[in-house]
Order: sequence, then structure tokens, then C-alpha cells
Amino acid sequence: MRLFLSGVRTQFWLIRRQPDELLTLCTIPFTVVMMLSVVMHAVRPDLVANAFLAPTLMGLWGFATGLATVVLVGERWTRTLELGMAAPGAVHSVYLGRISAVMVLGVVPLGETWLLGKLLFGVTPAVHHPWVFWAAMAASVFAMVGTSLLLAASMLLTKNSNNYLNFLSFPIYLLSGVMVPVHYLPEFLQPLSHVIFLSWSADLMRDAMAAGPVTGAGWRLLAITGLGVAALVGGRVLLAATLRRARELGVVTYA
Amino acid sequence: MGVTVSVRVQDLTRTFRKGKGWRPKGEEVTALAGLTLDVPTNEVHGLLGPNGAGKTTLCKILSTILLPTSGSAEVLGHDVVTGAAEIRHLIGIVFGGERGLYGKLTARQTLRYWAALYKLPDARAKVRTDELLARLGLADKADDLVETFSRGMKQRVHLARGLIGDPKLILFDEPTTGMDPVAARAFRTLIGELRDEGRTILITTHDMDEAEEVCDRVTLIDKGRVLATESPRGLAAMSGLHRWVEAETSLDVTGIPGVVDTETRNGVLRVKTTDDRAARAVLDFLLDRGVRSVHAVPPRLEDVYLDLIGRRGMEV
Repeated sequence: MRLFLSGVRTQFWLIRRQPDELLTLCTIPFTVVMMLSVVMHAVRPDLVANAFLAPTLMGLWGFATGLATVVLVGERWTRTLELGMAAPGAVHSVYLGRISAVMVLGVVPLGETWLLGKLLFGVTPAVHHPWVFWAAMAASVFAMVGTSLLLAASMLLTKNSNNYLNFLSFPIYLLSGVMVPVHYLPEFLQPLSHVIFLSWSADLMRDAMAAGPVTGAGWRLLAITGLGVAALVGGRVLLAATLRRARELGVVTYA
Repeated sequence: MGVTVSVRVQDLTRTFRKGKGWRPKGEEVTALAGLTLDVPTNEVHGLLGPNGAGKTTLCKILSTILLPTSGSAEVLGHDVVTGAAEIRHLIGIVFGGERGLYGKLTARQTLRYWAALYKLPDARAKVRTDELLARLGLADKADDLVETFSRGMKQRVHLARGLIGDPKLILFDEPTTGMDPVAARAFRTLIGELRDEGRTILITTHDMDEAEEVCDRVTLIDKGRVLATESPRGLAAMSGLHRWVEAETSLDVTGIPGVVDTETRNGVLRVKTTDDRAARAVLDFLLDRGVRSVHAVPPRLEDVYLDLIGRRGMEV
């Protein structure tokens, strides 16, 4: 736990000195304006919740790919990864702490979106089931930590991590139902959405904002958490395999 | 237990495969080819050799970053494969240059981060950090970002980081790369202090003067094999093949029989001769022409290095 907390503390130290790393926050207003402009122009109050959720969850994903995932790639470039491998402490705990620190900041887009909606459009969405909403948000942040570790370990294997991460964003936005509810998508695509935790997050948060009862909140939260755990375990295994392979072959990257 | 040998390497081989994929299947490249080496406890030992000789590969294996292909390596009595966890508590690694540092952390934060990875309890980490910052002359700059430091100061952060776990063996990989002469001198003084504290030190370097000054013994490595292990003076004597003459002159001596090579540095001519008779002939030639600042000198480590490894230029 001490190593994990040391990672959290170190990442906060690093982020404080690199405000440009938080550029993701600067993209939120554009998404908010785009989404809310469409909804308000079309006079579709039923879609306001979607318009607020999209920038929030896209911001969360943005923190994961823009900042959390590149923690390990940065370690490779600076050769601190090698030094970490030779240290007695478990590096994966430190890296998990650093990734978690970034993802805690991933909650900021939520506040930013709400604030911008109020300031620019005079709209604040109702959240009829706040406990479910916050539980879903917390589970989503946890799942994003696991997903980030999995992505980070994967990106260690490539020299072109930025290309892959940039490519991933739009398919994820679409398949997760962050921009458009999953049931609007072509039927053959919908099963793919079920393995993306963000689709469960988006659906549950949408329902939590609506006036009607939220059905199956427990197991839906469990689905988000379960997918997060699966990603966390997958990331941990892949990182261990990658470091073991680096010890055997003398290289980290796959190609 | 009284370990008298800190590093014991026997018939160590390490090969790499070129190519892509999870398990590359390309051409095999040998970095270490049956290398054998003992480094006694409390010795400052230099690893010298051209680029690609296998120095860094050896350091990586000893620091458990890399596994050997065959053979064995023990560090402080622990095998690098089966006892890697124990070894990591006992060693420190120091890189040269910009590698291995977080520019956006302060010197203090850097040490606190690594103290955690070396499993120091918080209270001990604070004390150890302050001790090292003071010892390495970084106390006044402890809360400045590492990226604002000069090269010499960054190297001191590296050193402090390498010492955070109070290692018994310290591996230095090209530690004075890019250092100015003043910083390099301070580094050499520190090496002496670390030895006085009972630590064993293994240094890879291209700097022959540095090796000659700080190392108790040096090992010349080429193509993954040990060419020789000796004290710098012993190595020079061992080479025994050539005699050297130095003189402050610009006269041409290349026509004298037995002169193998000449070079001029800072106005001083160094003449490499085949034997005592040839050296005598050069001395007589120069004295006859009124050159007064002239003397026979023992070979330097650099001369031995060039004799044994050859003047390869850019070849690796």
C-alpha cells in the first residue's frame, strides 16, 4: 500500500509541474457546447442528460489515454523503467498508484461540464437518483484505472503508442454509448458494447438522472466493477509478462 | 558470513535475437561470450571496452534487469536468477547523463520516490534523503526541479538516488558522461569515500584517466570476453611490449627504426617504440637536436587499451 500511495503522491507532484498535461480539460468546453447546442436547438429536453454525460465520460477517457496510459511509456523513454525493475519494491504498485492519481482527476470533467452547462446555456440536468449516479461514477473511475493499466501495459509494447491511443478514442466513444445510446447503434455492434465498461456506466448514469425507477442498479454496478477488475488483472498480468520478457530479451517493445 | 567476493561471474553468456514479434527469431547477436570475472569486496573495479563490448549488458545482468543466457553470476552471494529479490536490496545503480531522472521532480522528491521503491519506512526515508542531499552538496537546491540543474548536479542526484538504499555494491554505468572536469573530479573523490565506507564499486567507463585514477583493478572487455584483469599499473606493466618517449618538440621521429606510432597532444610528442633500444634511439635523436624536455614514460592505461583492443575508430 505504501508503494501505491507513493505512486499517487509522485504523480500529483509531476502533474502540478506539468499543467499542459491537463489539456484534456480544455477540450471539454468544446464538447459541451457542441452537444448542448444540438440538444437545445432541437428542443429535446429528454436528451439533456446525454449532452451532459458525453463530455463527462469523454473527459474521463481522455485522462485515461492522454495521461494515465502514457505513464509507463514515459518510464520506458526516460529509462526509469529499468531502474524500477532493479528496485526491491514492486513497480506495478507504484505505477498503479500513479495511474490512479490521474484517474481521480478524471472526475474534474464532471464538475466542469455541469458548470459550463449552467454558465453557457443556463441548464442544469436533474439527477433523480444521486446515490446511484455517484456510485456509478465511482465504479467508472475504478474501472478506468484498471483499463488504463491494461492500456499502459499494452502501449509499452509499441513504439507508436500515440497513434494507437488516438485511434482508440472514437470507436470507444461510439461503442460505449457515450455519444449515442447503445440501442441506437446497428444491432450487430451492440454486443461489442457490453464488454466496454463505459457502456454500462453511460446507461446507468443516464437512468440515474432520469425520473423513472432505476432497475438492476446493483448488478449493473457489479458489471462496471467486474469489467474494471478484469482489466486490472489483465493489465497486471500483461505488465508482469512484459517486464519478464524484457528481462529475457533485453527489449520492451514488441516491434 | 564474511563474503570476500562481491561479484562472481563464471562463463557468462548473453545473446540477443534481432527481429520483431513477441519472440524474435532473427539473427543471434552475442553480447557476452563466456565471460568470467571476480570482483572482491571493497574494490573499485573498472570495466573498459569499446562500444558493444558487453559492459552494459554485464551491468544489467548483475543488477537483475537482464537474465543471462547461460553461465552464472552471483552478487554478494546471491544468484542473479534465483536470488534477484535479495540482490535488489543490496545494490545501487547509477546512470550517467540525463537518463533515469524525472526532470519535473525536485531533488528531494526524487529521493523520496526512490526511497519508497527501496522500501525505506517514511521516517527513515526522510532522514536518509536529508543525509544524502547534504552529503552530495544538494541541500540548498533540494527543492529545485531536477531539470533546472547543471549536468554535474544531475549526476549528484543520480548518485544520491543510487545510494538511497545504502547499497553494498554500486554499479556505475558511464557515470561521468558529459560532466565538466570539476564535477568529474568531485565524483572521483566521492568514489574514494564510498570505498572507504566498505562498499564495492563497479564502473563502466570510456575515460581511461578516470579508470586509472579511481580503480583498484580494471577489466578490459572486448566482444563479450575478458581480455585482461589487473590493476591499472599492473596492466600497463603487463603489456610490456612497447616503450614510450615524451618530449616537447615538433621534430619528426617517424624515420627512426623501432618507432611504431606518434601522437602530439598539447604540444607534447608521444612516441611509441618497439623496445628499449628503439626508445634509447629516440631519446638520443631528440637530445642531439637540443630538445631538453624529454623522458621515457611508462605506458598509460589508454596505451594498453589501444594495444589490446586496437584502434578501431568507429567500428564496434
